[in-house]
Amino acid sequence: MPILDVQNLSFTYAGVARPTLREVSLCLQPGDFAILTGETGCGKTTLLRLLKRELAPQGTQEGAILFQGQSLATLSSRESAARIGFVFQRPEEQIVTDRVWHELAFGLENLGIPEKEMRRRVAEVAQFFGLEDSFDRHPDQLSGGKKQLMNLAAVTAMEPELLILDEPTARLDPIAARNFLSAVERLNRETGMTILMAEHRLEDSLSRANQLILMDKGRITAAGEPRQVCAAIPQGSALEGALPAATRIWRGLGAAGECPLNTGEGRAWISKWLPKHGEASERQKLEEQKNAKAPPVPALSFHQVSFRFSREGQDVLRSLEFDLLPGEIFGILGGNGSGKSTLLRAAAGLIKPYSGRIRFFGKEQKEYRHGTLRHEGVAMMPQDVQTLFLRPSVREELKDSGLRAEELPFDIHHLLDQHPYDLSGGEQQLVGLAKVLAVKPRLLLLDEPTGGLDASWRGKIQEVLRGLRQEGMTILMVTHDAEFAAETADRCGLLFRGRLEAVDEPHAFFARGSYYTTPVSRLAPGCVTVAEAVQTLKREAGQ
Amino acid sequence: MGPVQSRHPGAVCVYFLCVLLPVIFGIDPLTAGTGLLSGALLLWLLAGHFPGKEYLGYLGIVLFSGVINPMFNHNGETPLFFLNSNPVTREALLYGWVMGMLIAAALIWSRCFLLMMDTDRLLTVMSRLSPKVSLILSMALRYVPLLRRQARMAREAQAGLGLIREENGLDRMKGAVRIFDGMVTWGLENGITLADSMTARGYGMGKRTRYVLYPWEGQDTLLTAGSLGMMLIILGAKWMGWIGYSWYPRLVTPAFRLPGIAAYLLFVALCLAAPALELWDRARWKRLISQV
Repeated sequence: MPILDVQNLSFTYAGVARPTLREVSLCLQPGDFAILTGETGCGKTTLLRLLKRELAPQGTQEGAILFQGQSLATLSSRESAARIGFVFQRPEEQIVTDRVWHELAFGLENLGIPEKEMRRRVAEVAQFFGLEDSFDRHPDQLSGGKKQLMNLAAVTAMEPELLILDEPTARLDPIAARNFLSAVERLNRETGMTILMAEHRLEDSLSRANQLILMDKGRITAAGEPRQVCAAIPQGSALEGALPAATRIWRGLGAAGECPLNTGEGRAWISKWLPKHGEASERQKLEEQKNAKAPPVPALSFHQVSFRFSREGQDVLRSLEFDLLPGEIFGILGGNGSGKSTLLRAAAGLIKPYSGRIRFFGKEQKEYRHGTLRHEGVAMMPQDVQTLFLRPSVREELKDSGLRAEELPFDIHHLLDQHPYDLSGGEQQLVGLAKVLAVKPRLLLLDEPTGGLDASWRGKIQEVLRGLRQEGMTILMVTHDAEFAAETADRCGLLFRGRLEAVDEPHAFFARGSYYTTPVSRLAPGCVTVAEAVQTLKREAGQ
Repeated sequence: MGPVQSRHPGAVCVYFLCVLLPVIFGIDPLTAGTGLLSGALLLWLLAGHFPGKEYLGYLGIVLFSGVINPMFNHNGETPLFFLNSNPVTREALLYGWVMGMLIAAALIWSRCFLLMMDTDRLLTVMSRLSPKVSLILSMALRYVPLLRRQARMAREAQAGLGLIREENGLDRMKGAVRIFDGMVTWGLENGITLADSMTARGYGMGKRTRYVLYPWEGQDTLLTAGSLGMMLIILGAKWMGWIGYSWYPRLVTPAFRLPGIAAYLLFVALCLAAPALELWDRARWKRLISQV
């Protein structure tokens, strides 16, 4: 008997004319690990919420949802709460109590589980997810990745049979995301828990799943074994961008043989596909582009900048040295705690380094009178773009900034009457960018501009940034999205323990690295985009 | 963590109450003095350094009370001298000092109590009384720092765009109002998602159980029963009139017969239990380490 059987489910939100879901059918067997993917706004979240009765949105619903052969509506509230678990996208928003142990026990307390049983289950999940060290701590002291692991542990402590996750890694950095995904995979492999996870980053997740479900405009367009589904996606589909780099290269090269789902499989496939096994590093000879002209006055320059939060603390920035040339997009990469956000805050003048000089367009920060720095055109977009929003609608947000929608280099007319918090992540990013552009910056500072965005939205943001550069804007962004940096930036730098350890043009930057690099670059060294990789490999194969 | 602190918070609460009640409900130089001195010793041990400044504060309370009481309280039949044609009596002076010792002892033990009990421990005790209140407290305790952090982020977001100017008070106020606006929106949104998260995990389904971080152990029963028993004996002795002072109109000291002396000694033992346990624990660790 399938654990979840959705039959011809249609759903229309109250007060909306068009249905959000149309005749959705899907079936999960016990022990399945299914990934649901599709563009933002295709109805993934609506579908997932309908499957968890407590979270079901208001509206009219047709069709049937059967959980273990029983209609979801007829489950007792206790069964519904305990047997179907749900993990949300933002780690912070689902935390209820002020201690990790209490968070793990919260669901069990609600169910009235006897104390002895509760102690066993809390101990089990804390160990399974490696939370022993954090047990007594406040959740707010944990990193984003640990928080999300705690949320997962808190839900699995209730021992659900079906676990639903709504883009759980969208807000995490790549390493934390991989860590989280392997915890989910372990849960699936070791306990046989059935998993249904919405994801738009398939790079690290797809090879762990045994089901891939594609959604588009409220319909399920394909479902089944990931390799078959990947092969069946039509060329040029918007969903293509979400696939792992190896899969995209495989499709670009004619989709012969077994479809690779991760970098390891991709390398194996390429080595079989290429007639001769050329040594990777010798394939590409990178030409150093020396600039003979005198360098222009940097838009931003850091000279021997050091910063720490307290006198006793460690330096977060250590004699940092770098120049940002006018009109370039510079991407700073680095792991958590490498000082990325601190660097940006120092550049925005939000924090003062204890030594060193920061110059904007040749003038020192001190020479700008308080507040006038921003009038000289330095603006920063924060990582959590929601913190920019103060008004109940996008229209008022724009009015508040003294901006008309027509002036923007992108179109947000269709969003004007919505509440900023109701927008999707990508839409919020655009409105936030609009607010930032309203102060007419010459130097734009971006903190994780693609956090939580799917492939097509990342493409849109990339387009916008390139357009701004064309107009002469200088852009400094910090990101852990190596692929985005590789495709968008003119130069990239790797920040490690407060110093820039490597700065180079993306092709060179990612070709050199073997660990901190993009999946495309791992498969075809010296290449940054999938299209480049496909061309290079074709050329090498002599086609 | 000390030997008293590692006991169940409920047992610790009972112990502190058993010390405080006899001190408070008998204006008695012996119990108040014992309480003050043992409390001072315990504070020294818990603070980890000699708390000279705090001692001075408590001494100040004793002296202050000793001065204030005879100035306003003219009961007592042994006048020492007259102030504004009112008698300043020996009884009122002594009473004031004892009262000061009593207050200082109560404060010093409360201070020790707070040093031992963090929010987790207090919540454990609270949740015994009311699981609902303890959950609300736990949520509130999480929310306060969360709000503060969100406010800081909202301020930085606006400052990063140069939308907050701080040249004069009016600008500063406008900035604060903007941020407050944003915080209200954020709070409402966050409230909805939080409610979702709670119902999704089965909140409001009826009878809750609770996860206890500190299980009750045999030693906790021993501590609770011991302190309660000793306190009852002391209060009983007071009720029987074996111990206790009477102040007005004339100072009457207790007779100091065997049951009375035993009750006082019992109180000394009760007060010294915590500092003695701390000292014993320290000596034990020293011995254990020197044996390694």
